[in-house]
Amino acid sequence: MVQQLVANGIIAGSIYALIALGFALIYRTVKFFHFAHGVVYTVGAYLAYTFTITVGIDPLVSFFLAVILAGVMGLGIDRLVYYPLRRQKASDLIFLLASFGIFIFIQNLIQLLYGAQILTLRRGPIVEGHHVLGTIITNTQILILVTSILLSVALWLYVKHSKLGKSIRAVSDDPVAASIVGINPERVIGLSFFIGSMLAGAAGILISLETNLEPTMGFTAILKGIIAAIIGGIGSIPGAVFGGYFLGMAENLGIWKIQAGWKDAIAFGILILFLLVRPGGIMGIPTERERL
Amino acid sequence: MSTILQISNLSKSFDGIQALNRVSLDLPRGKISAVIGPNGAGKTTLFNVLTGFLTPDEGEVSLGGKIIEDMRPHKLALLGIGRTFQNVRLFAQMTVLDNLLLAMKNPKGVSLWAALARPQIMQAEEHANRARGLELLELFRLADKAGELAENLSSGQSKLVEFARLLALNTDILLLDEPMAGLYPEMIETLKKTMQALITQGKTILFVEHNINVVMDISDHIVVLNHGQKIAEGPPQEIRKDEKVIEAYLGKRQDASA
Repeated sequence: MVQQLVANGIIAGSIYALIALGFALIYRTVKFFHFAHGVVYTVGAYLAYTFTITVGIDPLVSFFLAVILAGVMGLGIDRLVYYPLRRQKASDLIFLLASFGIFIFIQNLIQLLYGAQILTLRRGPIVEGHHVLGTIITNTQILILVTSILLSVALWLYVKHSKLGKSIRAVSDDPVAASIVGINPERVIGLSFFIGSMLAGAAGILISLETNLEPTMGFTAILKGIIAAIIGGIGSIPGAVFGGYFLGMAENLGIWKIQAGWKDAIAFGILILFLLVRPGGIMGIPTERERL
Repeated sequence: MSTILQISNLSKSFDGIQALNRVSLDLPRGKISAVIGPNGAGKTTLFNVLTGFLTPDEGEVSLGGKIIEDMRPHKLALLGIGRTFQNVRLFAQMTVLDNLLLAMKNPKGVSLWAALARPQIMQAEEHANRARGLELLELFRLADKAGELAENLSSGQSKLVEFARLLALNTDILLLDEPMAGLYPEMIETLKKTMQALITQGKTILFVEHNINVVMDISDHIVVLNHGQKIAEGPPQEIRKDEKVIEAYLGKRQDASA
């Protein structure tokens, strides 16, 4: 029983980590809550559905296309909505409201196009999973775990070592200073939206292989992603991954002795606890107050 | 004497206040030029326009005889116009050395692919950049701070690191906004020598400074602004004697020190 809960925690954590990673990457450069990140996740899943089921393209090619398009969509949201707001020097509240607006608008659009019912990406009979250490793990779950780890490590290495990664750190630190050393902050912001949104799209596709698609799936996903990012330390790349797995584990081990319906309550309980005790997260920079 | 940067008829106003009023000036190549003037004369506004942080209401800027069309800050930095700020802008969450490394150009273009495909070349380059960074820090006796987070520096140290970062960027034109303010006398001497050494390397400097002795001492050319207008321009000896300048600026100072 415990082993299965741990396994479930790891799988859920892999998805949370991917969402939190993209969210954190974007947060680092723009410093506001890109809530619409959740709907990019939904769109990734629905695009994959459209390509594989409706059009009938090879699943791997479909997923690849859907991930790229999710990236393009994130970039589009930034250029069409956030960029004009940045030019007007809009406040954080305006950005957050705009982000909610985009989220609801696109979610409703999906509902209009695909209907509110549950769809499924899976095809063929359900195959029994592998027995590993007293747990049952499906191939899909292995795929989720491996993809999530690979993408997390790749992104972490990229941000740590590449020129772009250094540019992201620079823009995150001070966009004005970045521009005087020849870094174009807008380009860096655009790239972080593109890469971050691809991660959200990938997470959306992976989860719909495991469960189902519905237009509102992005809402819980982004909430969990944000909680994971805050637990890990907002804006920190390794923190987002850690926070994702921590949240997945806590949720699943938390329901060991109590009903499964408490999962979300556990997640938000942890969020409130962190906000009260350590708002800077585990790997984040301690806030002024914590340092004193 | 050739002109490297030509500024023609720059105007900029904020809420009805004319911060720059049809300012034109030719920045001589390979010389130290200073902009002086009382507070609110438009010196920092001029710098902000020249580095793309403000869009002028009218006028244009030419570099090496060519009008600069794209005046975005990063473009100007890449074209060879670098600057420091009156209120220092460092990457606070990075180490002092990383601040300098970010400004250095990587000719091979450090993409992830390059990093994976040619790690030796990357390492050699990184190594050379680090050595160069430490050398620049040593100029201001800050090499021992290389690993320190920039936010932990004193304001004087931050100022010097920002200047070292500008040297790391290695632009042809250096715009320095009050580089000496808040520095102790010994460091001011070092900074003066560094500025003069840069000129022998062919760099062009334009700086804003309130320390009039420093200005008179090292400038080849002085521009005087008052209420957004250029009221005088010339070598230090002439500026010292200029009636309008004495009235607007130097006169007040002499009164104050008398």
